[in-house]
Amino acid sequence: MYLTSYLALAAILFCIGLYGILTKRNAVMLLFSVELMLNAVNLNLVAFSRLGFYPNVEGQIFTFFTITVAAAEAAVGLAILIALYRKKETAEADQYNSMKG
Amino acid sequence: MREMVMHLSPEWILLVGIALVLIGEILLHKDSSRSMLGIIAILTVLGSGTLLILQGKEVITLFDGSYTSDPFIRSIKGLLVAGTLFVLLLSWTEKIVAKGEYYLLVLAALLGAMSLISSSDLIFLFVSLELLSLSAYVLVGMQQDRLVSSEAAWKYVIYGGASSAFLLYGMSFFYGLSGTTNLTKISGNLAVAYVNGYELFLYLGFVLLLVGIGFKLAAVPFHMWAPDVYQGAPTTVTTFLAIVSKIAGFIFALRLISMLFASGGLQSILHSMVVPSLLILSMLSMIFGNVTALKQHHLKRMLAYSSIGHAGYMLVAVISILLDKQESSLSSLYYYFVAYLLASAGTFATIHVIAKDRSPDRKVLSGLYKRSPGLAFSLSVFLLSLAGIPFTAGFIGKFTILVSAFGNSMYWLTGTMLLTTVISYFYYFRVIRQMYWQEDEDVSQVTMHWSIGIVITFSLIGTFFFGIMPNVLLQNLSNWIG
Repeated sequence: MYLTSYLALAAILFCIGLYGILTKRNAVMLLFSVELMLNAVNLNLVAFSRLGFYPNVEGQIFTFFTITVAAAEAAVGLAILIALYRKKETAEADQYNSMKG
Repeated sequence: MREMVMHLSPEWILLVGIALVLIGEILLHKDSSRSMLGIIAILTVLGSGTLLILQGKEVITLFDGSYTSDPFIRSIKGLLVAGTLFVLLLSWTEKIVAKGEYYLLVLAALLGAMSLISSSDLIFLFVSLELLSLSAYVLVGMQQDRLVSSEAAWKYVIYGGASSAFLLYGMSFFYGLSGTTNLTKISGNLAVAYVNGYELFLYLGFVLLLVGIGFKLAAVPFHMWAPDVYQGAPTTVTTFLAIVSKIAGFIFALRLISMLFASGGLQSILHSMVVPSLLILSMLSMIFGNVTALKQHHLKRMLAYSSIGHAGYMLVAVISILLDKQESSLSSLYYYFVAYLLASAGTFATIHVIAKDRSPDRKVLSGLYKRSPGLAFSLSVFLLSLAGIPFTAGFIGKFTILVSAFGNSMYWLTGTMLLTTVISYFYYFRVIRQMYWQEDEDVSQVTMHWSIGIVITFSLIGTFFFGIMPNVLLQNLSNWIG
């Protein structure tokens, strides 16, 4: 019973993140949305590792790795955003459209 | 302990190389040449390749089964090493290598790719994948004087981050249902969960996983990032993405899916859900990639769409392997990788030489035949190999994939593959026509550095050799794997 509520919360977070990626125009908000999706995964993993069918510690270890990697990804993302901002002078992601097919 | 060092030596040496490049970058004066670091990087990659060969046919399992290396995986690693070597040679004269990080990131990405295809544990898999991806994000954005480079890197980060989240979300369900992250043990537990009525979670996990994998492989409908990233990235990095990243991605997808659904109790899911969804991805990629490539004027963009089409062909081989688990299907995929590696490396190298700093649309090739007949001939051969014309490696690659797909009675897929191959002739031949029959617009001489010459010569010889004598590779390969 408890597990279901945690899973539901994770699913809601994931969907909010996905919605943000699909609709937000501000570049920083896009990075936030990706973080939100990754945090939904963390919640899922921790819930499974505590209340799942086979409770064990592996899920929590997995979470440590995802948190670390997510931090690295945010750092890279922000660095690239700064490089881009210096040239474009805007943080509106839909202005980043100089390539067209 | 000593065993562990020996068995992991191809990866260790890369780590040593990364450390050396890092130290070298700190010690070198700001304005001095970085070619020393380039030599270190090339030697490291060569050393890693040699150690791979020395490991022979041994099957290695380490860290409680989370690292596996068998002859097939090792032969794929050989391809990754060869691809990286080509990229390093291509970037010898590039401006971005003025920064030492370039070599560091290429080596780190190779390390990520190599451990990615060896890993049999979800955590290890994820960390390797991110090592590859994060290095690739930065590499794409390295040309800071070009706006499109930063823009491509930005799109890559956002799409890549979202796809990682999908992949992880899927993995978290598989972990939850099985209670383990070890891929060798996961399948049995998943089968128990399937019998106990949790099949909906299995389906959900697989769909999320598929979205993540689809993004990483740039399969339609998850391909949106690929054209922009291929166009914006420096040409050498585009080569890296098209070769190393792509091959590693396919082996990753193949191993992950086949190990998750290995257990006998999950065969019904494999046949009713996994294979059909991969089939749809493959068909869409072949059709959409090749048809959209028809309208492209920018060469790198055209090649990006063509590589989406090629991803579709490779998926056909992956599906064959999942269905029949035959050695012949494995070697057909391997053959296609070899052909694709040689032809792509050659094509990108030639475009790199001709376009230099200009934006490479088709016009830069006008009258190339008069300016530089050798380059025009090489580029034609590479494009013919990508198109799959007889006497080139690409033809044999496509042919073996077709045969194994036919063996598994996937008639619709083989039909689509043949049809889209014919469509692809249009845009490949249009480029060739531009070189031979269009008037010369600019008369500048093409100058080429020897390092790029090596890449083009090797690719040219390889493309012909494997096109005329396919048995040499196929036989050696079956001895090696078997």
